[in-house]
Amino acid sequence: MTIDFESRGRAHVARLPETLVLANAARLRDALQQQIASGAARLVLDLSRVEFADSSGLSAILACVNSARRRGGDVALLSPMPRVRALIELTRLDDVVPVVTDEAAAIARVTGRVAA
Amino acid sequence: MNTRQELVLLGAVPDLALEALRWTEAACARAGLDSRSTGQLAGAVVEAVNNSIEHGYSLAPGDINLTLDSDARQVVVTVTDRGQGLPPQPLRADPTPQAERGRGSWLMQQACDEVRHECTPGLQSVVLVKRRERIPTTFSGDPT
Repeated sequence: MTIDFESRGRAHVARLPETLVLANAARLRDALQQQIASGAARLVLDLSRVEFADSSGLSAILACVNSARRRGGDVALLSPMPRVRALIELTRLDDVVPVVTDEAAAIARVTGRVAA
Repeated sequence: MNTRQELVLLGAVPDLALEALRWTEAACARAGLDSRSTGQLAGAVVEAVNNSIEHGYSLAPGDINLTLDSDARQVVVTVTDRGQGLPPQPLRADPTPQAERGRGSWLMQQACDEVRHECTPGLQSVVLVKRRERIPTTFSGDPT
């Protein structure tokens, strides 16, 4: 499993792997929470290469969201593919986490600098 | 004409849920199911396999059988394990968006037209039924 982390000013961007499933959900959750604990609580999760997610993958994302918010940060979801977006909408995850298609807008959401 | 396709996941561990996904997508294509319904059914199959791995076998390796039966009206996938099983789960209330767990069974219900739990001594099955939105003109019952 590969997660690429990059710093973008006050925010960080994590590019998630092709699948978010039971097989890697625990490692994904641990890796994201480790980053959050080390100061990356304003986090954009780039879903653009995620081809498939199950309920375990969504649980890992929600654990990350809750962890970031407990530390005063926030999370945004960037560019999910249609299949993953459908799952996000079905579970109403988009009610509690912003889903955007532009990285600058995603960073603005998590840093509180909403783009004009 | 009815057809049946089968897959056995030997010593299933979490990595094999993706094999179940790919097999279901291919089997649904052979059965002539539309792509939207295929995506929904394949997602439900992954949740059922995850339940077998997590709860049936408590993450220890165990065999899981998948069968896909199709006819002109519907496609039915049955996921069977020999683990310790769970009591049949009632349809849960819509989980809150903030809930970190408890979506698997709910997602199966959302994705399928019918979900049944069948238990016989030593065997637990989840039956996932997806009705066809339209009967394919090319449906021949030939799973090749």
